[in-house]
Amino acid sequence: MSRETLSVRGLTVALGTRTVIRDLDLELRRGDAIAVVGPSGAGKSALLRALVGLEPGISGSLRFGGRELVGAPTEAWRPLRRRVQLCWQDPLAALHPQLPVAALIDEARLLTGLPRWHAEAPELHALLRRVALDPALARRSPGSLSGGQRQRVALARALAAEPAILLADEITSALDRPVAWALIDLLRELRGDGLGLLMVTHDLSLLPGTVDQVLVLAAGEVVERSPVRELIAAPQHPVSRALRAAVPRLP
Amino acid sequence: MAFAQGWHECSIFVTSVWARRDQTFVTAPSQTRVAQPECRFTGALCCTYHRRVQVLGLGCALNSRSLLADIDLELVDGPLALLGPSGAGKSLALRCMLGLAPPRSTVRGELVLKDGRRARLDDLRTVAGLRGRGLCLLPQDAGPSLDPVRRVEAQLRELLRVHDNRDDSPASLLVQVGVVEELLRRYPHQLSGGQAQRVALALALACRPALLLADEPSSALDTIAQAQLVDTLRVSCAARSTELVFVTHDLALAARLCVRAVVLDVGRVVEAGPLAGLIAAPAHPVTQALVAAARRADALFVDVLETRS
Repeated sequence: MSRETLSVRGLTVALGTRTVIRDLDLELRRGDAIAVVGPSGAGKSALLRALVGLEPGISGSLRFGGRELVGAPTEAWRPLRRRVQLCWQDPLAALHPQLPVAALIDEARLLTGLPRWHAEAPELHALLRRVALDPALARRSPGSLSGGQRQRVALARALAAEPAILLADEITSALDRPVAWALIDLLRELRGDGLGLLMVTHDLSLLPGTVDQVLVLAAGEVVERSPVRELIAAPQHPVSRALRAAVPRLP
Repeated sequence: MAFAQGWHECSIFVTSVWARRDQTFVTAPSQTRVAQPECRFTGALCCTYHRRVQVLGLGCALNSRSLLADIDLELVDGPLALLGPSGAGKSLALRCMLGLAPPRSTVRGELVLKDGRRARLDDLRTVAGLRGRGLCLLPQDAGPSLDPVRRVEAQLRELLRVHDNRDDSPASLLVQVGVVEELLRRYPHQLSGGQAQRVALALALACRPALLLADEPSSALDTIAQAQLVDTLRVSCAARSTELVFVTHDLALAARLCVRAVVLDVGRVVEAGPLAGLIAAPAHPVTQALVAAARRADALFVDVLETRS
């Protein structure tokens, strides 16, 4: 097993008395790409939070680099926190509203112990261009950006930490289609360079060519696990069929 | 301070939360309270139907920089799609119509409602009086616009009372927007994104607005909830003769709901007309990019389906 494999066996996540994820298995190596789809309330975001240790009520097994993390002390999570980055669904809540974009991204470098980037660093500007943002935005604060721009700042921040695995929670849903495709192309490219990708989405149309496997989650359980083309061509479970049928098509 | 005691305190609270989160109001009851008598809507929208809802010459400038210019919207044949890339000014246009333009900006333009009432958009008191029964916003992210410390039922009941709506009940509104009645007992933090979005729609419907402004209401939802929300919007707006402006960047989704569309780019209308025509023959580069991106998603589906069969 590679040093940076995220391996989950029988993961159960409880929020208070409610079980939001039940008995989930998942293995994500560098270069893998898996999508988690499902209706709202299925537990998709809770799964991602659990994978980075933000849900206290987890049981089962969660290993990163071979080390068991369920029940382990906080220090044991550090390698995972450094190498697995979560890009949040709601960037306004995830980004400090008063820091300029450059400082937000630099902070991710600081926290992961990487060489710092000052506001004019060419690497910073190159990263902003990669997420289809104008480098001139580096001096602005998230509050003055549009929702789509904030989402891309959140992605840039996650990527600035040079993760082995990226957990992306609905990162394209606030974006207009041309920009969404630009980010999907970027994720495909990063995956080619060895990034492991777990993306939560509800948009099946973005998946072919981007991920290999799709997990369909409904009420906290995996109801279908198929290669993406199979899922689109012949969805088995009623929830998968509903997701497939709900994709808006051009007239 | 006990927020649950009356709508007045509650709306002050919500206002302060929203001001901080750069969010706008859905249906803050205090706004209807400051309404001037001449711009109040009376009873159950007994409109004359020969008029159309129109926005004429909407413009917005901040520090002498023009953010929006000469935007005309006319609601004919049902919901109107307002399309454009991010940063095109779609949300800003809605905020200007609601009288919630950024501080220190100057707004121009006029709003004409079906019953013939006109409001100059720079007259904030008049526009504030229209919010609620005249205009309602369904925001992109409903979460922050719900009162976090009160149950869904109390929030719905309050709006029904404030807007003197005796035709609907909290339960019937939830059924209409397609969620289970048990959500009445929940607090906003106990709702998923899709549920919160539909509760926000129920709140908007409780006001019986003449014009509903939906700001990408479905972009945070899964495709199933998205399709359901769009269908709910179509049915409930038609049933209540509420006009709808649907802001989106998803052409395929717009096509599910709207017949006509206006495409914005950098604060100007670049193309307008029937949506089917825009999709078949986009003239402006911005429209072409939107159509190309939608086609790319569509082509993948066609490809998968054809290689299988």
